[in-house]
Amino acid sequence: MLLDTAPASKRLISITPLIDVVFILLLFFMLSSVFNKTTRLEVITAGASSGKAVSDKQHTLILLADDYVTLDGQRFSLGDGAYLRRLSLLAEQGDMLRVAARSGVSVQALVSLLDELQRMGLANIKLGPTKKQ
Amino acid sequence: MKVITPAPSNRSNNQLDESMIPAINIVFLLLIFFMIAGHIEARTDQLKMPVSQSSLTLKDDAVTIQILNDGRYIVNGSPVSGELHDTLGPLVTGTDAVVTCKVDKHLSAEVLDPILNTVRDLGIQQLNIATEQRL
Repeated sequence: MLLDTAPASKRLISITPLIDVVFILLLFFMLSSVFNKTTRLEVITAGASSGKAVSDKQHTLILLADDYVTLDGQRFSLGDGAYLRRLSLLAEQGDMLRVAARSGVSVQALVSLLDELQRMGLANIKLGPTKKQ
Repeated sequence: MKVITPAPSNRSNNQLDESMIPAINIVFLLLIFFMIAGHIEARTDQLKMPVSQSSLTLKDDAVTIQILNDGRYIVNGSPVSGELHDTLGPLVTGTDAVVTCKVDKHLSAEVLDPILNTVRDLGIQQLNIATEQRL
């Protein structure tokens, strides 16, 4: 018995140029894609009101070079336990913290400090101009 | 002398094409991944934003001030020629205006002083610093 089989369909599009184009697209997207997300860090400028309930107490935090800070005139290293405990206390009390950098401190160091303070729960932070040495 | 070259067989060509299909599938998957997961943005070597762990997204309607690593100020894409206060003043309406500052992370924090002073003079309460969240 003879079976009536359909003839094999002829390929209309050559696959090689298609792969070439896809590779070029892949290279383009691999090289030009950016995966880092752009975010923002909110700071209240000194002299403005944050709009949040603030206690009467104000404290001053000055970021020095080489990972040191002064909190109300007392010098700490950034990882110091006593410094972190004091910041936690300030966060609990809702005290206002005026933050400034000493001249020569990089923007990255200042942003890292502000980021850490916000993550510790300090809501009333005001950023002021740098302090000259 | 006549050289007889064997005619390419359709069968071997078909086998080659079929063995390429998994590779093409993977390439397509990679292409779709990069198209969806990544985003394309203008790159500038003059501005490398500081890194933070903040997850707040950047607002599009904000007045944007860029500070390039050579110290130049650019407000909403236009370089500032005179005083920052004169350029920023007309763009800001009300104290609830949003000002975003894009500053190179390697610069000294002193470059923020003119912006902080101007923003305070204009009565703006909040300043956003654009950062990069590393994934």
